[in-house]
Amino acid sequence: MSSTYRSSLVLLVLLNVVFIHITGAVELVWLLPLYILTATAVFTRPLRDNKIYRLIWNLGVLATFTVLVIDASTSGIAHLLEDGLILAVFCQVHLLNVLQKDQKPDLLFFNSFLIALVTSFFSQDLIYSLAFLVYALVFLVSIQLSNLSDQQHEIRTQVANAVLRDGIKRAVIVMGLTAMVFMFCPRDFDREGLVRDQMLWNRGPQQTADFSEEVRLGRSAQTTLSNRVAMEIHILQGAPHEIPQHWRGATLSMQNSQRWYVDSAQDYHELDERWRPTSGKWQRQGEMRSRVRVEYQKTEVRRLFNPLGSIELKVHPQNHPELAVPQSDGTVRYSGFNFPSKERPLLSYEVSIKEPNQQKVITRHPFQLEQYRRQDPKMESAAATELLSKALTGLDPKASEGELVERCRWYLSTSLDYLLPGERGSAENLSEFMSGEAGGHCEYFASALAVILRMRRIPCRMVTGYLAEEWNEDFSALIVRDKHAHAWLEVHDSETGWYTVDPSPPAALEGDNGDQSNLAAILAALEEWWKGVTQFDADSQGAFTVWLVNLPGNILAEFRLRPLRACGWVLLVLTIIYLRRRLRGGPPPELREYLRALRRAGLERRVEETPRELLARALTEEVRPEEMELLASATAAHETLRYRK
Amino acid sequence: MRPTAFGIKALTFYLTIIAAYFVSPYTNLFFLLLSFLSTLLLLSLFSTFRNLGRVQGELTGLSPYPAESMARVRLKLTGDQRKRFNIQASLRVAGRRHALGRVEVLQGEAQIDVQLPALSRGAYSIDYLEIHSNYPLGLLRRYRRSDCETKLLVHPRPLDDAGTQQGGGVLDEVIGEVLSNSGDMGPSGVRDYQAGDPLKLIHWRASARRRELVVKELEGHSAPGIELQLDRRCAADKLERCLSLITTLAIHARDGKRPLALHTQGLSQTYGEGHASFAELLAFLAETSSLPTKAPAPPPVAPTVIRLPGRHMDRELQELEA
Repeated sequence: MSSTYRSSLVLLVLLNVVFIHITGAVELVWLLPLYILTATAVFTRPLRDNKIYRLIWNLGVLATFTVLVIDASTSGIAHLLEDGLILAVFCQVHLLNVLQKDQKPDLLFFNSFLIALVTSFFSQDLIYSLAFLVYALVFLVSIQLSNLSDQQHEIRTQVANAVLRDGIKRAVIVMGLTAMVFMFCPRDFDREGLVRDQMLWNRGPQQTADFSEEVRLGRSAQTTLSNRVAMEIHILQGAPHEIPQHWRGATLSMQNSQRWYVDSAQDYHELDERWRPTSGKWQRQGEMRSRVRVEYQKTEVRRLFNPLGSIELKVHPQNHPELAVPQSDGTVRYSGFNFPSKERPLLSYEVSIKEPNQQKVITRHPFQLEQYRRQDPKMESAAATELLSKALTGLDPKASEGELVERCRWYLSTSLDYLLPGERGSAENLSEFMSGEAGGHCEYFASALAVILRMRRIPCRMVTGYLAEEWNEDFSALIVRDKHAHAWLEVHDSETGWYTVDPSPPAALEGDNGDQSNLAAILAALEEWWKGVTQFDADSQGAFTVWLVNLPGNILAEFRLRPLRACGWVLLVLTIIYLRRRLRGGPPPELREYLRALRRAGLERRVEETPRELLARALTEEVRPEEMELLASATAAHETLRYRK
Repeated sequence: MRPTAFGIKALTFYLTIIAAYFVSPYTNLFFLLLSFLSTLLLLSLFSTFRNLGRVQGELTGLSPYPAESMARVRLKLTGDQRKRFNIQASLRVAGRRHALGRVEVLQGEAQIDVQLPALSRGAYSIDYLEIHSNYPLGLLRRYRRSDCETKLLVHPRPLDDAGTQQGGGVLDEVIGEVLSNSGDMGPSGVRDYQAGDPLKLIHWRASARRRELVVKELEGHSAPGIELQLDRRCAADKLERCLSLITTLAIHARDGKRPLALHTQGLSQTYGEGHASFAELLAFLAETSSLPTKAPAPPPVAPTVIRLPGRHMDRELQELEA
């Protein structure tokens, strides 16, 4: 075994421990000894033939295994995963520490890849991707070195370095090809396995973030963010900044400890201005400021999404305008439209939006507002009370209702953590989230704010819909995807009516990166890239294919529009090619190795002295045997290179 | 291409992963890792195939070598300027494969000393020289064969040091006898005795006249030659012993630049400078075999020519049996 080979195996096992570490399923107290035993495996090599060492080691393995079995049997199924992962990585450490010179570490390689695979189910973070990039390289090089190593021959450093270089090249090619397969290989992204929930690592069926007419608060399955386009909002009139971001689908005023849902009797306590049918369209009062055309892309349609200040909604005649049913809360239901996509014409409707603060306030009997203040007593937990108290700390007691609402919104968005459903550390109930023990997603933020506002008797309602914030290149249209599904609040003001309050942290929502350092920006970009991998779906595949098809045209367009910048890119590429060729044209590796061997032996070349003469001289000088051997080998390699014999 | 043991294990592992992929619900990361594994396997197959492309092997310095001993020859591997790794070579001789050696990194041309397998006396046809490699991952091994026209000639093993010492008397006696009875070489004159001259060359009459030892010089040669007659109508073990002795004498003659004449059934030839090469003699010794007792006698030679097997052989065999 060469030192490079030994180091590669140690690194491989270390990366396995890292994989287990980043799942967060195993405590550091378990992993720390494994890290140490892996790192010190290089030093225990001379002891491996010693019977006493092997006896102690095997007793240690037996003891650890016993502890794990006892732990699994006493702690129950909750710790089964932890014990399993420890066992898997402990096997690796064991194999590494008992590997003899004449043994091939085949099992170590298989087990290693299995660990990388299994841990991918638990940790899909950026850190996993970075660890895997390093792992792929080390994995490949280790197998190559293992292939070259045998018990008769020690791999020379020169050969190990050549294999390392070859391995790096191969790893880059493999990863490039893997990326291509991943991008282009057609597959069923929604395929359900033959064995589903029974799988140990499957913490529940995966769900995709999308619009919902109901908000359930509880333990959530892992959620993927789909890039599937839900709708496109094209500006017909007005400026981009005049288009609201919050596009409402449904309002949920009813609440219990488990969920928020639509009030089926909301027409009786209507607080929104009604839509009126007028010659094929629905209208409300107000002065139009902007107008958009919404093109709905999905097959299933239940709602015609529109912002809070919509004053006119006109469905295209071919889309059966009669199916649109405006609700008393201003949302519009669209019923009976679920045709197969091939037969269905693209659903298109136009929405006119009025000037802000022009909402007509409808004065109703106070009991109608009661509906939006009603609170399930179970929601007013100690955590909710404490959260409200903390949020209002320092607030002037005479502050207006609006100031109170804003204060609460600010407090929530800055003091609680935003996490997607099913992510590690995400809340399993609202109390857990409100106490700050765990993070939550937009529904938790909106629910928490609603609870504390209703504790202060401020009428509010939950709204579900989309947060439209992704503009196309020329800012002519907003692209709304499934992953933009969002929940927020609408608070009723006695003077201005309903207004939007969104307590979710803006930085957690896509497109709002705030002020970031360069490193944070790079990390955010990497996170985004990795999210693109983990959330890759059929739409992303289609979009990528289209992008690739358009790439030559885009490059030509770049040359036409920004010739200087394009030329700069070309220059950069040519410089890289030139530098690469120049680097390749340096002295051959055999000569470099020979010079290195000379340096190590502390010898200097004399004028007109051939390598063979120098080797003969080295025999008469005090050169250590291993350096002498290296020099002899390097001299032979140099002669082979020079004379081809 | 043939799968290696590691390759079969890897294939089993891969199929297990494939099964797990279809059993579990689709996830992007699982697919990504599976793609990585699949690409790695496919690229490995391609690389193994490519690693051996355009590599040629050739054995140089192939000459007859003694039986039951390993001979060193040069293995010349040639490729192009691309680096190739872990090129191994083996030789298939008489239906058996023998590993020769390997070159860890080949770029252009490389020559390594390899050992030929230890074989018993005979002429072996080399089935092929095989170049093979399982680089990079060791899943498959690709083989390239190149035919070798030459035969592998394994001549009798010369009497080794111990044997020479043990039967040294025999050898010395044979050499002395041969030198004194140098067949067609007649005496041309006398010279002063020098240490090491065989006693049989001493010209006793002339020595008596001169009162100092003088020896006979043989005509036409700077050094005395060796002439042998081998009768192959004998037992196999006896013949083997004779052949070993002849091989020893042949090497002795070759090193001393003396001619050696051998007369046996179907062959009457002198070897040395200006005659047939000693390699031809060794080739004959490698291939020859004993004859039945009814076979014709070897060509007649002068009475002074040493005959094999003779009393030397009988005595030596008796010594060995004792």
